[in-house]
Amino acid sequence: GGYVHSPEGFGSPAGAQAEKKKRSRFQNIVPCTVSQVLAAEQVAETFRLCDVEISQVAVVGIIRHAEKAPTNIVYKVDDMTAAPLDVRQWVDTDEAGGENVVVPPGTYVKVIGQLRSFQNTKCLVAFKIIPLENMNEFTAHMLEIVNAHMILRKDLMSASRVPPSFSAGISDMGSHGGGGSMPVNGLSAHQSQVLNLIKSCPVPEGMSLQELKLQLHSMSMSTIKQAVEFLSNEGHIYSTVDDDHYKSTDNE
Amino acid sequence: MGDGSAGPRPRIGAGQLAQHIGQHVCFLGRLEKIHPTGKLFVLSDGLGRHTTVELSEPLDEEISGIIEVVGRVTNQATIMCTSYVQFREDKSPFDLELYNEALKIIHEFPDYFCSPFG
Repeated sequence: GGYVHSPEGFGSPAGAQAEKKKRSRFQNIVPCTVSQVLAAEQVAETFRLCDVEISQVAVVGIIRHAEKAPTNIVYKVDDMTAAPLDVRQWVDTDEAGGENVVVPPGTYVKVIGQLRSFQNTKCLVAFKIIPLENMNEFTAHMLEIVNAHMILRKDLMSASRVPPSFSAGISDMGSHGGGGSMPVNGLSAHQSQVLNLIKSCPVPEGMSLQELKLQLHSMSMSTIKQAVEFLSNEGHIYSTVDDDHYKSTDNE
Repeated sequence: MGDGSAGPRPRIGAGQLAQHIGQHVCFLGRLEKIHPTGKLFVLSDGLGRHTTVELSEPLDEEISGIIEVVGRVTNQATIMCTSYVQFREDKSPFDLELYNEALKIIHEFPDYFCSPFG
């Protein structure tokens, strides 16, 4: 919690910690190839690939090697775009069996994890490792990668100029059936809707994510959160009593 | 012989074998037939084009369905296989035609698929 008023994004130093915590919770999961992960450059707390920030990523590949240690399992995941990537998964030492069964080499998996670099070597710290049951997901992942990186890079180029011809803002790769996203005033339709609702809220503590979800039936919570993250970073809104409540900066 | 697994193995269709002679590639196709010696099998890609895959040792197991091969392209535009894996289709059939479409996309937009530096 904590009251953070930072219209420029990172205002007071006291607010920076809460800002950073809120920010990392809302990160998009960007689908990537191993070669993209390896090519990303570390910039402060995060990584950039062609100026696109990547932090949490999804990679699909085959397990070439698996090694279990007392506190973690280390895999080598290969998607043919580069050498196999180190993937670390922490073992829950409290839990007997279940969660931390070693996935055998030769299995195709989807890994969702946090990009990390240690002594110039990249690895993924995995939140989830999911063996693929339907191999068409592997094909879909290839297409999602091209789509995601195309949108993310074009967003950067056109942020201050003409709105791009397809979905603007932070793309919601995991969402299904999102409505049309014709950009208006540099904001996508989703972002505009969220901003307008927040603007219209009269109470001092602003509008909560839950209230936004109630009003925006067709929008998934993750889409709402991404819109809130974008609007907050752009300075249109700020969080009030906690990270779930927001007011518009235009109301001041 | 190295299997090239320290570097990229581009995914290609049968039509691109000639451009990758001597290189390590990744080829995905449906098993059409296995030679009686077990040292050679034929895969068809999403467009029905056939590719011959050679092995240094005969197959020691039954394979069928969708096979993903990593290997080096020979002068004859066959693939000298260093490793292969059979795609599981126990829950859902694999759409090879869709994969072929995906190949076209990743070759049309290489900057958004591999690292932009190569």
